[in-house]
Amino acid sequence: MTIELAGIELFGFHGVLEAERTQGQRFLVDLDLTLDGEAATAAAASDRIVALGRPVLVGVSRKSTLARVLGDDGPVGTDAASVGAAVAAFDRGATVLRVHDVRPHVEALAAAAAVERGSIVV
Amino acid sequence: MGIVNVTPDSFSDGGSFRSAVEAAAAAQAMLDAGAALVDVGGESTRPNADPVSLDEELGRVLPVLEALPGRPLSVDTSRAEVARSALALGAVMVNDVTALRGDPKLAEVVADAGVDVCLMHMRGTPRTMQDAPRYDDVVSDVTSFLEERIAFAVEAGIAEDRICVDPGIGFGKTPDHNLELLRRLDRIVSLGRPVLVGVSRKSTLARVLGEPGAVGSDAASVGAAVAAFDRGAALFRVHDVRPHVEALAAAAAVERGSVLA
Repeated sequence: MTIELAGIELFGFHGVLEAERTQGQRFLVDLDLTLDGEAATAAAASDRIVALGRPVLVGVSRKSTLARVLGDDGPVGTDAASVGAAVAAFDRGATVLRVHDVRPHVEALAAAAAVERGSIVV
Repeated sequence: MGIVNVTPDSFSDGGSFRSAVEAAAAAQAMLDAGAALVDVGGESTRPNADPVSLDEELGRVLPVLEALPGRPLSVDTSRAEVARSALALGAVMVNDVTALRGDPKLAEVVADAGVDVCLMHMRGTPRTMQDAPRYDDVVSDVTSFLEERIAFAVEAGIAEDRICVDPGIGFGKTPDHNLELLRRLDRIVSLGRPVLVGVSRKSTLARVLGEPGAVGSDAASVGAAVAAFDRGAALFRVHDVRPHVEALAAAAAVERGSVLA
């Protein structure tokens, strides 16, 4: 995924020379940020998606990206890695998690939600 | 960090082993499952636990360390004598639930050996800590305590970069205290030292799921560990190592936004 920010223009009194600090000058910035990997897209974009203002569903359960993370070439991620990714998504604002192994997700997300509240009572 | 307790304690959270042989096998299995460290202890710190004698503690812990030369082991003790013997057998870290308050000689042992130390917050002692714990503000109180203990350790000659801190989930705290500490873990992280969290199978997690029991589930433990990771925790003291390794690897990859570390 690439993030491009072009044409940022700033005026500042910053520099090594005395004139730069008294008279100031324009700074022009173009940024190209590149992230790789499948997970990058999901992670970097998640708050953008939450910002759409609709509940965000994440389906990362057993996906091969999770196998890659553990150095495994196979097509199926483990249930524990799925739980880890689901909680990470919850902590970034996801509210609906599409999963295979329900009970561990229920328990882990209940714990993560209690941490977010800072209390037992909902 | 895997948990191995050598204790006949009947409290069954699964981290306890009756013999050194069993305990050593369990520790090795945890390392094989991806634990970076295994914490070996001979004195139960569960609520209402009675203290054990020095000889009893030495007799429980040392045979486990002797059986595992060259492995990355931490010794869970508050006693200078136990720490000294464990470090001589190759332990790389001292995990002290009293934060160097229990034995006046422990700080010097750690300083002389130049090893890592973990300083934990606890209100009272394991025998008394759950008697109606109260705080003005649990997060501020625990943070101030750990800050003071870091200063004490440094004053005693322990290098600051050898110190990690632990808010002591379940040690003199109500379930809400524990959850509030995790929610605002950034305050403790801001002390600038690695933060260790031990929430694995703690009863607060059973409460969260509406269960009356004393032992939280492994899945809830994993959920709480990842939530702590997302708030800056760096070390996790756990019973069921492999699921934590996999879940935290996934959470760390999400934090990076890439597969490559």
